Parts: sequence; structure tokens; C-alpha cells
Amino acid sequence: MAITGRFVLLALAGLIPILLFPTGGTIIAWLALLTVVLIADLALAASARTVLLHRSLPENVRLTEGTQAHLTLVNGSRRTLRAQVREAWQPSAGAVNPRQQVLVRAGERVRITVALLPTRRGDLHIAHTTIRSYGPLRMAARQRTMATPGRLRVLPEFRSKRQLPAKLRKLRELDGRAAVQIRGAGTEFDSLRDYVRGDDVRSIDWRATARRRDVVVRTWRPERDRRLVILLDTSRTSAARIEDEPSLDTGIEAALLLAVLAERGGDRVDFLAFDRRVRARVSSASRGNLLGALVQAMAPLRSELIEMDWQQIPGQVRSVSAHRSLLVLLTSLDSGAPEEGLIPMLGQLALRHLVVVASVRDPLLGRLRLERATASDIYRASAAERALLDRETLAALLRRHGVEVVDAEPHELPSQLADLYIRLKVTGRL
Amino acid sequence: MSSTSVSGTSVSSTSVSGTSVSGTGVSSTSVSGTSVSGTGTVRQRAWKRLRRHRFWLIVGTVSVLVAVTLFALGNLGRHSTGTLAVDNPAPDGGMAAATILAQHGVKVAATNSLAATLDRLRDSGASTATVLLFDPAGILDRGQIERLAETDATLVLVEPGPLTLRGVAAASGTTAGNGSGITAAGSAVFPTDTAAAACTNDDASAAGSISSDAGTVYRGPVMCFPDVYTASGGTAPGSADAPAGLYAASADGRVVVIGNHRILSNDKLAASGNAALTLRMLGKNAELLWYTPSLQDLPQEAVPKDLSSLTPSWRVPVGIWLLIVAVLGMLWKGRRDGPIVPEPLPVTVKAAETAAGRARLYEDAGASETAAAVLRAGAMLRMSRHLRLGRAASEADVLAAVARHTGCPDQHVADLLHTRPATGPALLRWARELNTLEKEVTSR
Repeated sequence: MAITGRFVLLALAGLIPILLFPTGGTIIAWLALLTVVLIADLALAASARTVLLHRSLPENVRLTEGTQAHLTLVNGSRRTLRAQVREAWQPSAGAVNPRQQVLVRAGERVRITVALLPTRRGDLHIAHTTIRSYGPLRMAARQRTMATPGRLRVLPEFRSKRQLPAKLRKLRELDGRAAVQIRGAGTEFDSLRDYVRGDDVRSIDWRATARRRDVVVRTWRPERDRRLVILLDTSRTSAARIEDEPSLDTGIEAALLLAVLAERGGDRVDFLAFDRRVRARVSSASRGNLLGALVQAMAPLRSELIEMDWQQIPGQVRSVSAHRSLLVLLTSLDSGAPEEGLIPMLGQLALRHLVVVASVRDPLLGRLRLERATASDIYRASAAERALLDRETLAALLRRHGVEVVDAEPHELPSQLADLYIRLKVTGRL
Repeated sequence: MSSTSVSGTSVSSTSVSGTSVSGTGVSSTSVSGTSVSGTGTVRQRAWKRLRRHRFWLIVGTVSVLVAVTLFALGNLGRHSTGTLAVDNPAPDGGMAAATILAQHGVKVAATNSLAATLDRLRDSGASTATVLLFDPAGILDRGQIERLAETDATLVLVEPGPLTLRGVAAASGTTAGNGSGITAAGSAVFPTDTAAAACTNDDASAAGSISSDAGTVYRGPVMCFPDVYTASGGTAPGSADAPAGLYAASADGRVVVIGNHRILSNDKLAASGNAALTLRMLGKNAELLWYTPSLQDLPQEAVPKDLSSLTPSWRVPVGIWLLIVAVLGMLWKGRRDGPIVPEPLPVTVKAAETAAGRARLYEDAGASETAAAVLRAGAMLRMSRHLRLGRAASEADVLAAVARHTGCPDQHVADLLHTRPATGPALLRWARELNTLEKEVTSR
């Protein structure tokens, strides 16, 4: 049950008779009037119990893109339903109009549309719907809350998609290059073509030239069908918020761009999200499109407040790829964590695979480092410098193990990681 | 009911010059359908509701029970807190004396206004009644005391003031001079806690001795329990320097004065001869009126005007009504449309927090040399990188290269880089100079 503002106004109007006849009798009379109105309105309201609800939801929506949820109400009572319907979405679903007024005649149905603009990646839930059915006077209402569970999966935004065309073009330009331009150990033979001026004479295929009487050169293309394993760290260090975005989300952006790029480059991509156990696993070898599977797998990922178990990493990598792979670790290089976990395992990993460590650097540190206004600023600058030097030291240590390091600010990380992949591919190090 | 299907909006993929990224389309086809209809009988629903609000129902019931119990206990046998009140069981109450007297057949009645007292006296016959008057606040004025004293009742005055005594004397008009002949003689001062009777009065000698820890002494035709200082210079009764005592009575015994109210109180009643004196004194007549004046005895104009008589008549009903409207308003606004929806918030850790913490540690410890060393290391690293000195370059190499590059004398650069600022301001100055040097090197 609920009363409305109109009922309170009616009660307030009782002041006039009470001012005119200031006795207890007037109060009781007006109270009686209010009670009668209340009971009558409640009795005449359509029962919320007879309403049938049916919701239809899109299964997925991309973050920052709006969507709509539809709710159909069927009035099963013999009275007209005048009601306020509230869809109890969790706040981050960004429901624009969760409360709506409806008027449904007996036996009819009506569909309301709730616009949603999710503000967070992950699974968003709605647990129940509340119907407040008003009487014909709109003085009082019967209220009922019904469990109507629903789920909307909000997929990662994949902002770095914009950079994909440029990166793909770069990748494609590698095809058909003369070997000299991309001299490396692992390039694959592509085709033979006529010599044009400017080609390196060293790439002339003499045997073919002899057969054809024209000078023929060999061309090369980047090797294909290499293996790429992307490992996303979802442990406590991924909860760090850098420039208003958890580093986990930055990692997801980078992983998406790299995975799509590598798939287009003809490589086999495996994705793993791991802390102490596997949170998500996607392989390009399985059926269906890789990106769809990836965003589905990444959507519900969250930072777990536990320590990464690096001991398990070699085993996990072996379980997805038995061969030498490009292993991309999206993790944190903040001092403290890697010394104990990552570095002891690196020897083992770098022996079998080509390892890339990608990490988000906080731009705030760079800004703090330059502050020189007060003595406190100097101490702050010094602490920031310390953090940056620690990262440098760590990166140098990793490089000594033959590990490639990408340490970039959030908006640059996906792009730099993709560039590194292309560079490795060009030089045939995959 | 059937679940309808909603065609999904597809998140379109980028497709550039022939190479479309197939698979970036996130398809979203239907649909989850939920249907809920009211089920269960009314009784089941009521029971369910009862179970859901079980906690508050129990809390409500218990608090109502507690309130009722406390109210019942508080009003079970009405107790007051007034000094010497007949229904006050506290140490300074008079319940003990009143109860004993009632058990011995004396009709004890408590009154709190002169009108009620006079009414009772008229009803039951004043000559067979004793009136105990205890008026520590001096509420009664002289006229009222005279009206009381003009009755035939025996008066027992407990710690009366001089005005009261004068009123009684004027009314009773027994003997010459001071009427009843009892006058106040100041505060009692006794070396011991008890005073001996030292007189021939039956009541007093039966008591033997009474508590004398406080009170007032009086002179009168009959005087007992004298205090030692006035007793020493004792002369004829009535004169100014006659001995004064805790007990005084008029010659005919119709007015008795007790100088210490505590001999009647619950805690002191059993001490010395207090009980004997009290019970003999108050139990002489068949009826005892225990009169403690209250505000009702004040003359009409002295009673402060009631607030309600000053306010217009509509004020109270309107106030009540506004209260009701306010409660309705709270019910209107306080009713939520459905339960609160929780938001599972993600953990947020600010990344630069450790750096901020370390900065505060440096500052609190005044670690200016450490801070300077870190800044120097950072600057040297960047400068050597800019000058392409390689990782193996020693400090001296970097110094020399920087000096060469900027055109500064070697010594100046070396001094700057080797300075160990000891204080905050020195650190600030040095850090700025270092910054300038670094900019000079890296900008060329």
C-alpha cells in the first residue's frame, strides 16, 4: 500500500474546516473522510497481483552504446490498471526511464521501453519489477514487487578498434616484400616475380632466371600460422585505477586489438585470463568468430583481490600451445609484485617462448616528476622518480632475459603492443 | 505465455578497403522471458508476509510488553518523592510513621491543600483530629495559618518558621503575650547526635532522647530536648534568653512544635526515642491529617497563567492536524517503490598511491638527501640516454659529456650533481637547478 501526494493535499485541506470549527469533532470527521477515501480508492484499484509481466532483453550490448529493454504488461483484472511501473535495474545499467506510468484497460496489454546506457562492463542484473497500482482518484495505491530476474551482458568497448585499419595496412604491406627489406631468419618464401630496378640483386633466384631467360627475384611474406598466447593478469594488481580506468580494462583493450590483428595476420591466437585459476579461455582454433568469443569471455572479468600464481603459468601456457609461441603477458610492472612472481618464472618461459611483457604506466607519475613548486612537490617528484626508476630497472632486467617490454600509458598501450607484434613479425622472430 | 524474440542490434565492425574484420559484429538476438503471476491463497500470502516481517514483529511485541510492564510497575502503589510524604518509602519520606499509626487504629489521611484539610476537619469533627503541618517552602500565608489554627484540632508543626508561629499564636489566642507562647530560637546546635528530654512532659520523657543532628530550636511554655548553649543560661520561660529545645508545646498542649523533621522520617524513626515521641505526639487523636501544603494553597493571582488560556482556541486542533499531515507526508515520501537495488562495486585502487605514500615518508623523515639522490639518478639516466652514452657510461663520462654539451665549466656541473642538500629549502633550490640543467641538455 502507498499513499500519494494528492492524499496528503486532501489531508492538508482539512485545515480549513478545522480553522472554522476548532474542535476535536472536526478532526475526527476529517479523519473519517480520509479513511473512507483511502479505503474506497484502494478497493477500486486494479490488483497488481493479476498483472502478467514479460521482459525481452538484448543479450549483449557494447559499453557506451545504448540499448532498450522491453517489458510487456498484461492486465488480467477486470479493472483498468493505472500504475507506475518501476524496473529495478542496478544503477550502472544507466536506466534512463526506469519509472513509467501506464494505463492498461482490463484484459489489454501494453509494452514499455526502458532505455539503458550502461556505464560499466560486465553482467548487469535486474532483480524485480514493482507495480504501484493507483485507484481511480489517485489517492492511494496497491503496490507489489515481483521477481523478474534478467541479465544484460555489457561487452568491452574496444576503443582501440579505430586503430585496427592502420595496423592491418601496416601488416599487409609486409606481404610480397623483397627479402632484403625484411631480412630475417624465419621469413617464408612467397612467390617469384620479375626483377624491377631497385630490387636487391642478392634476392635474384638464379635457377628460375635460367629457366625463364628473364631475371626473376624471390619475394617473401611474413611467416604465417605462428602461435600467439595472450595472458591477461586478473590478480590484485589489475585493480589499479589509472586515469579513471582499471588497468584490467586497458589490458582488455590491448588484448582485443592484438588478438584481432594477429588473427588477420594468419596466426593462431589463444587468450587466457588468469590469477590463481583460469577466468577465461578463448582460442582462435575453435569454431565461431574470435572477436565475438573474446568479448563474451572478457565481459564478466573482474580484478580479483588475490595474488597471481606465476608458478602455474608455464603449465597453463603449455596446455594451450605445445609449440614455441609469442607469449604476451598483460600484467603490472609496479615494483614489488614482479620481483617475487614474474621474474623467477621468466627463465623458464623465455627458454621456450618469445615473451612480451606489456604493462600500463601511470601518466600521473610523469606529471608528478616535473613538479617543482614547493618542497613537498620535490619529495613527491622524488617518489615518482623512484617509481619510474624501479620500472626502468625492472624493464632492463626483463630485457636481459630476452624479454620484450612494452611499458606505455593507457591510451598508447594497445597501439604500442600492436606495433611490437608487427615489428616482431617483420623481423621474423615469431 | 510465449516469449517473443527481439532482433538484436548488431555492433558493426570496421571494414576497411576490402579487409573486413569479420567477427567483430557482436550479435544480440533474443531474449529472456520472465512471467510472473499471482499465486497462492490469501492465507498463504498472509503467512508468508508474517514470516518475512518476523523480526520486526518480535521486536515490536517485546518493546510493547516492556513498556506495559514498566508502566504497571511504576504505578503499582503510587509513590511520591516529597519529603515526609505519607506515600514516600524513601529515607526522607514519612511512610513508616504513617503506616504504624494506621496499623494502630489512627485514621491517617494526607492532604495537600488548606481547603481539603478544613473540609475533612469539618466532616469528622475537629476536636478529635490532629493536623500535622509540614511546610518547609513557606507556602501558607498568615491568613491561611490563622484559619487552620482557629479550628479545634491539635496542631503538630514540624519545623515551623517564625511567621507560621506568629499566625498560630494570633489565632489560638490562648494566653497573653505570644498566644501559644512558642517562639523560634534559631538553629539547633548540639554536641551529640541525640538530645535528652530534660523536662516533665509525658511524651518527651517517654521518648527519653531524640535525634538532634539538625533542625531549629524553640522556646515555649513547655520546652524539651534543650540545646546545651541556651540551656546553660536558662531563666524563666518566655524571656529572650530562656533555654530553647527541639520540642515545644503550648500550655494546653493544643499546639506542638517539633524542631527536627528528620525524627519523623523513615530512616531516623527507629533511632533513639524518635518513634516514641512521634507516635505519642501524632496518635493522641483518632484522626490524623497529614497536611503538606502544595501549589493549590497559593492565592489565585500567584498561580502562573496556563499557556492554553493565552492561545487562541484553534491552535491546539490545528497543531494536532498539522502533526497528522506531517505523518502522512512521511508515509507518502517514505514509501519506496520496491526494494533497494545493490550495485556490486568493483575494487578501485589508485595506482599512484604508493608513490604518494613514499613522498610523505620522505617528507616526514626529512630525507632530503635520499630524495636528491633519486632525482639525480633519474636526471643522469635521461641525460646519458639523450647524449647516447650507452649503458656502460660511468658517472664521470656523463659529467664530462654534459659539460661539453652545455658549454658549462666541468666544475660547475660536477658541483651541481654532487651537492647533497640537507634541508627542504636547499633541496627545492637544488632540484630547480638540476631541472634547468636537464632541460638545457635535452632540449639541444
